[in-house]
Amino acid sequence: MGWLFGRKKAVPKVPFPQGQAGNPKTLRFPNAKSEDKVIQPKQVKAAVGFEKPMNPPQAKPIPKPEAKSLPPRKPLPAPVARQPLPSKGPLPPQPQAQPVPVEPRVNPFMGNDEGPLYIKINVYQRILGEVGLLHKELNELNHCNRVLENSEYNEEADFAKLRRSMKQVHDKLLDVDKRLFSSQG
Amino acid sequence: MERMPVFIKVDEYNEVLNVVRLVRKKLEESKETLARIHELKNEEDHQLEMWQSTLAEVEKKIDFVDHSLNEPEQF
Repeated sequence: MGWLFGRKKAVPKVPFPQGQAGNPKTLRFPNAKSEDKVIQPKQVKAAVGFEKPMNPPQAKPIPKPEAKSLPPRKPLPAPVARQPLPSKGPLPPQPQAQPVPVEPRVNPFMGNDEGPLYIKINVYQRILGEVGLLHKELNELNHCNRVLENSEYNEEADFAKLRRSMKQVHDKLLDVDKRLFSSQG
Repeated sequence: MERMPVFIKVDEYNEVLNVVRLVRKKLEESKETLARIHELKNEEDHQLEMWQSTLAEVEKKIDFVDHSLNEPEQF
């Protein structure tokens, strides 16, 4: 009857792992304080190279657009006939401008004699505007020349009148001198 | 569509550059001429001032002679 109330001894089919004695230090917490693991901001900056000078990436060269030949455009209007400049006329004195040193420009197309040259249309329009302004300013200078010519003419006439007056005064003084001192002599 | 640049063909590029160079040379000559005219104008102004002062002296002397002849007792 002993088998009725006794516990049947279970024999495992697969033996249990015995487990390793292991290194007793394996699961031990470190003795160092946790503050040592706090990452300071300066450490982050040093790690990412915050204080190092930045080297911006070099801009990639932009490929130049290929010049395309355009269809023949309308011919420019004929230039307006400019009035001939007066021969010579003094200009009014103007404050002397400081001479601006002009650096010799290098022809960017030097040595590229073959083939047509093209400029952008906005540059072309600006050049046309500047040429128009130059034309206006040259007309103003022509007007100044005419005014100066008239002024010079009047100046010459005034000088001639002054010269005549001085000659008459001189003659009269000689006459007075003659009359006054001839009687004494 | 991306805006594409439009170009204008320049036929006589070197001739235009030569003309611009010539205009620049003429401008330099005009500046020198203007400076010379300014200098002459200053000399002319100086001579006119001398004229004015000499005329004033002549007028004084004429006044003296006139008064001397008309009112000799006062001198």
